[in-house]
Amino acid sequence: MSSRCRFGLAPGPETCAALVAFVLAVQLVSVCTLTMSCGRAVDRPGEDSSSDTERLRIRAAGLMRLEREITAEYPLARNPQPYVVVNLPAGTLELKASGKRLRGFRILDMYRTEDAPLGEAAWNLVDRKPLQRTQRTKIQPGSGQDGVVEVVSQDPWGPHRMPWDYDLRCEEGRALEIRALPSEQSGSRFVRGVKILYRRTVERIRRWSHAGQSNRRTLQIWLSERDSQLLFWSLPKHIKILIINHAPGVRAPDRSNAGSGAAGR
Amino acid sequence: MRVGFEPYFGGYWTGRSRLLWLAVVGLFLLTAVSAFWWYSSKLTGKPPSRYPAELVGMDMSQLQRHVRRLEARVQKLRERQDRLFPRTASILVDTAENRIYLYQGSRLVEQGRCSTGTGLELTDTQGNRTWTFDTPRGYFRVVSKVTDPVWYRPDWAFIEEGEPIPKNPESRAVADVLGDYALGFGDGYFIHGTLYTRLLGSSVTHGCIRVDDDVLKRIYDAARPGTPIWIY
Repeated sequence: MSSRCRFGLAPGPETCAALVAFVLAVQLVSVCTLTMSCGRAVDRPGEDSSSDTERLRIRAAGLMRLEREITAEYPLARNPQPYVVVNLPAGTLELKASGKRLRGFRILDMYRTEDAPLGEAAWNLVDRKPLQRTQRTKIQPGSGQDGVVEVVSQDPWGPHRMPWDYDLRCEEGRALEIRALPSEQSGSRFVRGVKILYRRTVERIRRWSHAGQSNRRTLQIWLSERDSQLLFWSLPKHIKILIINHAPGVRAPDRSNAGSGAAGR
Repeated sequence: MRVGFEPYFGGYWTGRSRLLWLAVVGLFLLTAVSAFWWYSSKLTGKPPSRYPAELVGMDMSQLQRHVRRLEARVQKLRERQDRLFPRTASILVDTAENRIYLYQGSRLVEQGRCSTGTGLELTDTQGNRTWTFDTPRGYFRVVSKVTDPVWYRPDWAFIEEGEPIPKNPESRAVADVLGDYALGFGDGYFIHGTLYTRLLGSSVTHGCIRVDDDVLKRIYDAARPGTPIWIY
């Protein structure tokens, strides 16, 4: 039996180590080549590296987005009835009337079923279905104005008594599901983390258990607890909800302007 | 017994060299599979465009002209939308904060505390009728302007006080409890004054909007029948 391998190398640990190094070097070169070729494959035609051109394109894309948003909102703003604008790329939810923002909320997260419509669409709210019950305080006949004041001062009515998880059922089987993440005041970071995990898990299970049972076109929006309650508090029984969802690839604007709960004045 | 690559490596296919070869083969496979997934994911479908398609082929000067056109169009659209908000007086009521705002066009000219609905429920002694004392939300218009308003107490007011409901309508009239002015906005709801000024800023009413006399006076003077009211 020959003591030399067919590569003509003297076999031994040194040879094997050299082979390993060689193979690794070849692979490294291959991966680099592949990376470069893939990088070229996804280059956008007509895009150059000029920062001015890039800046102009970003500006133009932003303006086109704004134009579409204002145009989509205009028919609702013409009507004096309040309306809601859910701007998914901007991550905002606003209650507006005649173009004026009454309240603004920041969307923390969202989930959309496959058949929820893309593009700009106005949904008509027909029903609000809270997942938590809101208990109203009852007053007894004969309690009088002083009795009312006493009850109210002990247990005041306000947005804090509203549910934070609810479904806004709209026409044509559409639904805007509002869900809340615990606010920063709801405990330590650990407690908040556990609460978030719990709520998301519950929601996942709920979604999974209802999968296939309904053909609803659902958009799920996650707000903070306070915002979610304030939105429920502020909504009239019937309202139009405009969903703005640009085609993928159009950049989201800066979110730093997104207010939270405050009116635009 | 010798197996595997023995013909090529003789007696060296053992121990450390076998491990090294296995590592080489393993690394190669790992790299190949990773490269495949990465490459295939990059080439699957159309690469995402960062801009609308019409912007991609434009050069610098075309882009500049396009941006100027877009800016002008957006400006026009914004102005058109801004014109939708009434140029005359409009009233906004924030029920969460219990505050009322008077606007003249887009200019805020008056604001103050108010009181809105308690959210309480009252059921009559027979259990036949239930009232919920909420301030309605949405868009309304001023339908009536009343000076020195008289309150005609509804049935719930008697039930709440534990009094019998009178047969004679005139027995329902009470003066001086709604302040000096009242603006009706439908279904028996009013923006009016109050004797309970210390409760302003709280949700203590049966659905009406109570306002401090000074603020109410300015709102009353500015409002006309048809003046929009947004309650949210």
